[in-house]
Amino acid sequence: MPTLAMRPETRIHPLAWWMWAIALTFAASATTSTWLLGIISAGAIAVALRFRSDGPWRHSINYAIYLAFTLLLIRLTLAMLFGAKIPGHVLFTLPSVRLPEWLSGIALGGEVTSEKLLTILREGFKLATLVIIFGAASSLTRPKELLKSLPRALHEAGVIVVVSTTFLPQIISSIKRIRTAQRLRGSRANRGLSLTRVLIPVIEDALTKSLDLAAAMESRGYGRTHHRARHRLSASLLIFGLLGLVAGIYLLLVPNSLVNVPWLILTLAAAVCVLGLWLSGRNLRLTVYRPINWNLEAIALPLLGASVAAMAGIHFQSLTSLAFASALLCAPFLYLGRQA
Amino acid sequence: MRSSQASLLLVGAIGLGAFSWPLFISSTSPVQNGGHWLFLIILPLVLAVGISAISQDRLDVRAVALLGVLIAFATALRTLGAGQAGIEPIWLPIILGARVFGREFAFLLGTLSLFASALITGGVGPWLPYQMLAAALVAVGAASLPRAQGRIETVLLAAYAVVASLVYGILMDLQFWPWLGGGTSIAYVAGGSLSENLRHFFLFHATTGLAWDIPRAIFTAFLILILGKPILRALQRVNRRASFVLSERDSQPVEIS
Amino acid sequence: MISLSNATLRYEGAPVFADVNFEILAGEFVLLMGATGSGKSSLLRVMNGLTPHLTGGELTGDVQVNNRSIRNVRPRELAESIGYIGQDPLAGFVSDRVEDELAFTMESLGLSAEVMRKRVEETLDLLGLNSVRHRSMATLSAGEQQRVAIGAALTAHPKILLLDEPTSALDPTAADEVLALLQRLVHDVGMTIIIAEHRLERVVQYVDRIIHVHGDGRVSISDPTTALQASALVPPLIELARLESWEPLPLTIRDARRLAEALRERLSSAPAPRTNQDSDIPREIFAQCEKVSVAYGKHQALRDISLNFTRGSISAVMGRNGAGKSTLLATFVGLNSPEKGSLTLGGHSPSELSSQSLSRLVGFVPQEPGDLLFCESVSAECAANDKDRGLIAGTTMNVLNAITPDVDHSMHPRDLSEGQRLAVALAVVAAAEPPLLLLDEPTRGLDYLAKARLGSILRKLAHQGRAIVLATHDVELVAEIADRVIVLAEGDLVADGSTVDVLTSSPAFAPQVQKILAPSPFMTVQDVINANLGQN
Repeated sequence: MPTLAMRPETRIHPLAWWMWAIALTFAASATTSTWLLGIISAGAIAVALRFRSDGPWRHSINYAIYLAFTLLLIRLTLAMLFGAKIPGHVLFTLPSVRLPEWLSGIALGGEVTSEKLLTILREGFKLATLVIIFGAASSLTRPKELLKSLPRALHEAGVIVVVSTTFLPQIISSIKRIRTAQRLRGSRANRGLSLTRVLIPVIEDALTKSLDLAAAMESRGYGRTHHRARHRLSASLLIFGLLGLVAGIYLLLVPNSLVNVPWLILTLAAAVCVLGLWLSGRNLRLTVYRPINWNLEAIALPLLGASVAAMAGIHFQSLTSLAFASALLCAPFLYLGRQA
Repeated sequence: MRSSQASLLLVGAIGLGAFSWPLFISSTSPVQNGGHWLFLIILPLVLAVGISAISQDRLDVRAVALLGVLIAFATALRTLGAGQAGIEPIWLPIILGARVFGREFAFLLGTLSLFASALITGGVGPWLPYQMLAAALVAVGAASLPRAQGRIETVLLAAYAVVASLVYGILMDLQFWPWLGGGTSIAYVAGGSLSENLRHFFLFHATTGLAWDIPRAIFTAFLILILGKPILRALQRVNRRASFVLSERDSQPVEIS
Repeated sequence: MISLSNATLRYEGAPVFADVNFEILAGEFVLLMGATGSGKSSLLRVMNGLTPHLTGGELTGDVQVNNRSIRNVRPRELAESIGYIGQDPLAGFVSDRVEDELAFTMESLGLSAEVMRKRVEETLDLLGLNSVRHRSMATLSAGEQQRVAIGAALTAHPKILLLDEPTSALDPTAADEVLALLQRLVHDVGMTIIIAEHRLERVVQYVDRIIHVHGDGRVSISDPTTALQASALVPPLIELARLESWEPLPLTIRDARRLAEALRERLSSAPAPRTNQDSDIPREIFAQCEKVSVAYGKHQALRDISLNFTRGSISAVMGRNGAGKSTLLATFVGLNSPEKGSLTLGGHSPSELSSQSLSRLVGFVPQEPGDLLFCESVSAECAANDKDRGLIAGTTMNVLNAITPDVDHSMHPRDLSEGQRLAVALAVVAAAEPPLLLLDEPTRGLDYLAKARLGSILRKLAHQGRAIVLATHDVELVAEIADRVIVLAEGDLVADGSTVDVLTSSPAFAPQVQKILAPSPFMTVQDVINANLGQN
């Protein structure tokens, strides 16, 4: 039974958590201080463990931590194998193999110094933090709510994904059912063939059901409110936006003398895209049943994240700033209820 | 050209850029060390635009239902399949569905399959937009293969599966390259020559992802060889039964006299 | 409300129905009846435009709903006028929460949040679904799922509802609930309801008019009495009434009982039916279980069941959904190992046998016969079966032809009708000549003709010396062919006796004829015919 805390009115909007996460991502990208990265990671983990949702993504933060370690390990291994030489205290030496010329003549192995390891760890920490932030955001939201909060322009895609999550248990149970039936058919068939015998009826069954689903959706009015006329405007905006992005990216990557123009083009193009998406959404004229509203607690989250990002951005690096960042990250503990 | 086709093209172009920029980036570029951060922000927007443009233009209720069911099937395969060491049955419905239903359907099938299975398997990581895009490229490629029938078609698709698996691996490693290879001798060199970067990448790829790609290629090709024909036929049957062509919104009723 | 003028529907070839003209008025409860494959579903779908807009086909003439022609608008434009509920409610669900499903319709129509909230609450109350509103769809019973499907269509507030075989997947209790709901919608809410149904005995007493789809293109609409007098497919009640020439034709058990006074008198002196069945001849016991208990986790599915099945007999296992019928069958096939007790098939224990040898001892036709079939054509299916079981080529095909000669061998099994698919599955399973045959709910989706054919096939197979066990809700079929009835409830064996004894002793399991002629132990029309012949 749902508790009071889970009524839509008291829940935190999933986008609030994701915007918080995105702001923290900005912070992680902008900062050069490993300490700040550490605080961000720790804060994200703490908030995730405390406030995680009861959906299927509960354990994302656990997987993320595990994954972050793995990635750091990979980074270390690669650095030890291929690393550039950083002089310092030698910890151990790997056998050195010189690769042939056609592979750039790179030397494998060699000395491994503690400075090198620390440098690599510091650089890898950014990726680890990023992974942890994403894992935290996943843990804090439920996928169904996220689907519901998608921008309206992506509504059809949202419906497709919702349908797939609804059908998934049916397909799994039909696999079990059909596997049982085929087993009883008593065949000498080997494994490969029995895979055919199970998957073919499953997929045929599923495809037939999809036609029934289409009939049901159509009869209930799905697709009615899409207006074709306005669609031209939004479609054109989207195309122009994409063209702008292509131009901006090209100018950024390729050598040229334009310094600020690419950024300007990119920002404009992104704005045009967002405008096009918003307009597409409005064309759909849909409503949402019992939407999760933005309450004060939810609005505070992106603001908190943005503050941390701002601090990282201005490279404010003293001890006080670190303490301040910790406080910002722990703020949710103070005002959010147990079940977000 | 329809707006959905144009979006598909543009998204594809941006996508290729998003994967291959380390090979081409100049040393004077303001993002020479941070291209991956830039694309982290741009890609979700680009994917949203692509998905929105195609679904608004070309998506009939039958396509919605069919995509939902195929994606559920793909997700079921992903949860039941091993998932490690490249054993990824998810490519079976993606490649075959793309083949039968065309490019725009394929784009949505690839993107949303990866998204939906991420929803089920436990969360989202910063590489998800790249995965979605790479899957979309694989799917659109499958939809662009030349017409063929019968046994030839199955063999063609299996061969494509091998190529596509390897390419998918390369794309995902390209994406990881700036994150994991920095500071090593096999990092990408902004402004470096293409051959030098390619050599660095090859070493990176060989040490990280290649071990996944080869089993994936073999496994997917194997699945297509044994299951391809009956699944294709089942898909074609439903295509015919629904008189199904990705029809325009508000189109005229079918065959009324 | 709905009017068809010279409507003809064609899918490549002969028309499904031709030159149909009728009008359905507001507030009517109409039944659409016809044999499987006659075009009932197509006619139903044409009423809201699903055919031809979604499923193709060529429509000539016009169909109008509230004066809007379906030729010009897609079904989704008519969602507020007319709602459609398909055969498989689970397949029509977009989301897996009850509330979200009810709301989806309104979201698509763009209704405001307040209106949506209000209508969801009203619909939950109307359908009695408030207790399950937060549950996931997969955990609901079939009856509840069907009601949610109806609710999902109702939230658009249509005035007309079309239902395609709403009770086919339901046990009798759930079916009655759904039909009572539909009755209430017609009488209290003033809706117009058109329902396509095979199980006429459940519906005929409620409907105002019957549309009969003849299958050769003709469609006729008339009041129930006229339609049933003329039709070949009728429930036992009507068959008895026609046999005894009762006037006016009774549509309910109560009316029939009043008219049956004379018949009851006559039959009270007739010998009880089925007494001279060769039940005294000892038959060989093929399969038996002794004090078997099966548990799924904490749930005790079967408790201390002791049964035996003899060759040449047809046994029916009856009981509510969830009573353990399917579990019992599954145990006999070796899918579950009993935690207590023993089970033998022809002297062997199922768990010791390989699936190859097991398939020579017992054959199982599941609820969905299509689960067994995986080839592209019927002939391929038969050939594969021969190869699998090491039979001489052509054996399965011969068995199929003996069962039913009118299946097109080149057709894809999924394109066959329900009855034909069941026949193919039965042939596949029976080809290896297993002495024990188990069938789980075989009568779903079958019309009376197909059921009669199934009955005669099973009798033939039993005659060949096989033991046949049916898990079913269908009392009429049980009355026709079963020698013995076993009733399970909550995993316990509640009754085990001859058909006559069990079916006549409980009102819940009484077939129609028995209800009319109680307390005389006559269960089928054939029994009455035999008695009449005996008396002459």
